Amino acid sequence: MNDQDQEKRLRALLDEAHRADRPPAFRRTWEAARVGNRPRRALWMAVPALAAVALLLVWTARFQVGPTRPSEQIPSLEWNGPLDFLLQTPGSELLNTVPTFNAARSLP
Amino acid sequence: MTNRVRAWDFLKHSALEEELEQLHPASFAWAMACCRWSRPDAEEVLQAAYFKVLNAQALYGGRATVRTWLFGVIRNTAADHRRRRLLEAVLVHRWFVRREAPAIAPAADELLAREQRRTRIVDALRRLARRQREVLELVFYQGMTIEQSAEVMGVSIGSARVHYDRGKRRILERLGEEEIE
Repeated sequence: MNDQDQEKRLRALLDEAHRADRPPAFRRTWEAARVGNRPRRALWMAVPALAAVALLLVWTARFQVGPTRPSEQIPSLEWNGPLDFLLQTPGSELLNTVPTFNAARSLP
Repeated sequence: MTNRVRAWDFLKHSALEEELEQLHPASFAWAMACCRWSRPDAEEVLQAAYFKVLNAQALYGGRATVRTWLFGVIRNTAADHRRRRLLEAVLVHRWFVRREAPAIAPAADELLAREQRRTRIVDALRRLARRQREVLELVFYQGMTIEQSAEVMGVSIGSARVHYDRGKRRILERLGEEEIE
């Protein structure tokens, strides 16, 4: 295929590609542009506004957070049975603890 | 502003609007090529390009022909549009925007075969590099020279010639012999 054939073929291919273009009416497009009706412009402009609002919310939330609760105030999730007191015998603390010796070498 | 003429002033004193109307089908075809044959995008880009012309955001310098200048405006608008689309995709905008699927009208076998052939050509053009597609469109559909195409595309003539040669070779390779009538 020589250059002329190639060019002829490319013209035909592009004509075929544009066969179904059907441009919109000029008046409609022109008038829409004249009144400044840019498609989805409002939505696009809303993105920075939304970002600003989100930033403001984060900023204000930062100062509204109170002091953190100390860990000891967190209620224990350990379950205690209602009859556990029956297992508490007199002098059981001696069995549950390790005796320590003080400087005077006497039992506590 | 020295020798530059505001598009609006030009509009008042000349027949720019009439000229744009005459160029409208060619401009739309060019917008289609710039938007990879997406009709909603092409309509949006063309409207935005006219908006730029009307609001003096695009200034006609009088150096090139109105067609070359307008095609440059459309090309730049399409590039802006593409960037915006990319950002919107990143912002998950597409989750909220539903696009109408093109209606597929029932067609006879012959029409269907023709449509399939057109789709193959459009797909092959879409897969070309953007500048290759643009230069082929401008030369073989819009009837411009490579020099005029370079002006529209904002590249040097040498660069446009390279895109032209590569694009021509690639599209012919991709479509093979089957598309020859």
